[in-house]
Amino acid sequence: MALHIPGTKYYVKVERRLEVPRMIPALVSIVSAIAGILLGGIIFLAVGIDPMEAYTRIGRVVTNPAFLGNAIEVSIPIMFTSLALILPFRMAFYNIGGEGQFEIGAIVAMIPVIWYWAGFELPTFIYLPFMALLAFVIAGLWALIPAFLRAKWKVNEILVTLMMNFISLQIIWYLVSPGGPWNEANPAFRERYLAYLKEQGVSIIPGFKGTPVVPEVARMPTIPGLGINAGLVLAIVIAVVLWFISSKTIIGYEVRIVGESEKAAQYAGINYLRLVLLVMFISGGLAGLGGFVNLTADLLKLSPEISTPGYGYTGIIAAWLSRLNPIAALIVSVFFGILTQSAYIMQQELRISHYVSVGFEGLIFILLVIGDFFVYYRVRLMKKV
Amino acid sequence: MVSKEKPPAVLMKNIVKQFPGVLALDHVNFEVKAGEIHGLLGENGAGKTTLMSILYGVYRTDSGEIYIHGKKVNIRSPKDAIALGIGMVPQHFKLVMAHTVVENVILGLKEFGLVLKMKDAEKKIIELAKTYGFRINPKAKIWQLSMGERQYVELLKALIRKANILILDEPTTVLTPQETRELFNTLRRMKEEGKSIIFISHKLEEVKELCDRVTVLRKGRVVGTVDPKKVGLADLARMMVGREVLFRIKKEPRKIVLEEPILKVEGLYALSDKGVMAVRNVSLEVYPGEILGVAGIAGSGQEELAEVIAGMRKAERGKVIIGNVDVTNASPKKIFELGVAYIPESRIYVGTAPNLTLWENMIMRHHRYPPFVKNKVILNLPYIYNFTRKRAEALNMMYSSIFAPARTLSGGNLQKLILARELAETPGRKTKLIVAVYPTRGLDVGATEYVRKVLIEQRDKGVGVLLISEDLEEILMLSDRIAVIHNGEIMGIVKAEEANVEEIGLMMGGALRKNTVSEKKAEPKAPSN
Repeated sequence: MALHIPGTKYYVKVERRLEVPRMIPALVSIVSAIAGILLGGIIFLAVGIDPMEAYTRIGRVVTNPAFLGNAIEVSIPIMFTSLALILPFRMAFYNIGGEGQFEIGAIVAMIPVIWYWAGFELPTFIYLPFMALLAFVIAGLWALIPAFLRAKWKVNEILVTLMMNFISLQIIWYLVSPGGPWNEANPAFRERYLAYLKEQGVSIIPGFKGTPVVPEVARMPTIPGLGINAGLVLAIVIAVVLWFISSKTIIGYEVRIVGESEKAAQYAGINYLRLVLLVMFISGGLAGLGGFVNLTADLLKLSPEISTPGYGYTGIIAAWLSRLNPIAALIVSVFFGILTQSAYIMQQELRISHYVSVGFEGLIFILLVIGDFFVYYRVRLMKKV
Repeated sequence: MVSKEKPPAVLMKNIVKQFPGVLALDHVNFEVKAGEIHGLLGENGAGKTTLMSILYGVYRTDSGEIYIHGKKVNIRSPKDAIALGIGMVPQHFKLVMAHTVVENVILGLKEFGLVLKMKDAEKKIIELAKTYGFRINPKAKIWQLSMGERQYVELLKALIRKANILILDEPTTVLTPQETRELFNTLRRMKEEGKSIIFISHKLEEVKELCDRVTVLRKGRVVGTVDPKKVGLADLARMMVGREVLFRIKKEPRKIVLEEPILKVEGLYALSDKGVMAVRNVSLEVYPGEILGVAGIAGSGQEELAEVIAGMRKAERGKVIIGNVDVTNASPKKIFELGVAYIPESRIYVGTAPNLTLWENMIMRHHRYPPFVKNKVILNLPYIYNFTRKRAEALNMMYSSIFAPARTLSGGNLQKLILARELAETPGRKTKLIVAVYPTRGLDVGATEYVRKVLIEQRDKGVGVLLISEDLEEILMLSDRIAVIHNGEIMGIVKAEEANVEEIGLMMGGALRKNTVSEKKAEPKAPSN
């Protein structure tokens, strides 16, 4: 494609890169993010705020350890939902169901908590590992449904995973609404829960949508000295394991071939059904773990807000921007955390509407996605001969 | 002094076209006189199609000038080209299968009105066909027509738009020898009517037979324009390839004769992707140490036949037996493990994954067996890297790095990679049968020679080869026996030394059927007598 610049001897030529140099993806992402932040200044100007004021707030989030810690904390659920998508996206299986798998993980992790309030206690050290296992396995099984439908009858996985998100959300609503079996006002919990609340200085059970809180025994510990929850360690370990699986094992190799061409995969003797079931079990399981972490570290209560603001969907963007590299997914997630944290501080200190800060985040996402173009194409200014 | 001679129909001066990474056309000069058939000869990738795409307005030239009938023109799109009287018959037809001939021909034309005057259009088509000496039923649906007839529909599309410069891009690849002869007669009639014809080809004999002049392209440059009647085939070949070409590959008579076939196909039926029965009651046998060539027009069911044998397509009925194992509808994995090398029709997206690296492609299908894997799941990467490098060196492959994506390889190097991989023998697996589908399609002469040599080497080692090709010359050159397929059915199987091009042509076109039962029975014993 060549575009002549009127009135000059020059023309702009867009060509596909024959090979993508190693550093280009990272470089492009950084440049796009900076461009997004600068362009975002226009939004701030439009609502009557000095862009420099806004930029100082972003700068403060990056430089102030306490704020940065918060930003990382906010990014942990995104780490899980983006890591979850790396294998399925690599094999061109578009799992849009991270949101639902995340919620299922949180729901089943809640089961031992419900038992606890109903008077059935487990040994203390069992809680966290048992809840994590439940979340991983059940969310993994949940994710097998679209995988099986796709492999067996070519049912579009995007639709199935997306629609299953509504089901999981409705399950939460059913469980936690007033009158629901897990609602905190359920008489089955009444005695123990009231006693607990009294210790906390509260004398009535509100009975809004939501379960009783997660007791101390079942809460995620924080990393000593950092004040960030231990979900971060789990996410880092998972990223390393995923990196190993994708670059050093047959599973990663076969996933890449399927992602390239299902015909080539068939030729290579790959059993698509088996591979997709395995990959989606891992994917659903990881998203489910994210739900478990968010429940036990942050929300401490199962409610329809467990995945707000759409961790499952943000994970898709983060996975994409990381170019399906697990280590990069961690970094991209932290970047998202920084953005969210900055937006929060801007709301607080500059009294910007929530919607303006969300718009600002959106603008940066869009620029990052546009930037993708420059990873595969280069634009050159050429002189006409 | 003003020459009375007519200006040339086409004059292209100093045409340059740059694609990322390649200079596709390097100051090409090309001239077609009015009323001549001009051959454009060159290997794949020489720039023939690019040059014609520029003339037809598909691409724009980076620099250079084009004159049509002596007038300088600026062709920005096919619409401009059509307005200038240029018509193109593309290599891959662009016809609507479910529509009739008339509907296809007048698609996009305004002269037949908003409410189509079908009768007028039909009359016009019949008239045109009569002028140029061919027959066509304007009411037939495209899918009902043979490839030869479809070509005429493309020609009609150009003619009805009053083209007087016609470009035909490799028109004979899909034709039987008889259909080719008919096409040549039509083209000669068109020439007599004063039309100029550009005939793109890489087949030397055809060019020599048909063309008044030939321009030879090599690597984006014009090697020369010659009168094909005055030069020999070998000269043309040398111009095209840049070196001497072996026309015949040395082939010893079959040495290994075993009674038991390595491949037995019995009464096989299979569907095409569109759900039409593409393979119908096919029975054949391949013996160790022989090459069984399957001749037929591309799309006659031979691709599907190969896919069923390789486990890539379901058999609806019938049996496939390899050695003495019934592998009907077995997985590609199992068939691979039995020692079947499969060279698929699509080199990319089936034979290789173009965006994956060389090493990833080099171990495809072998990747789950030792020594490529340790502890059942962990890839033995140092071994794999070393293996890939050694293979690539041995094959003289042109590559930048084993970590470069496979798509950076040329077609020839890609095919070398596929062959090397398929023929690689590991402790648990020896090659017993090769199923090769169009193995030399689109390759340059050097790579073609290499592929053919490997097939013969393997045959001499006692491997059975099922060779599917649309190049009749190749079939005749390599095969010990030739099966001819038409419309999914085997029309007959003949011995190569008794084969007769005329007869095979008729069988390819479905006009002749030979009784082959006795042939098959006699075959394994015959040479041992």
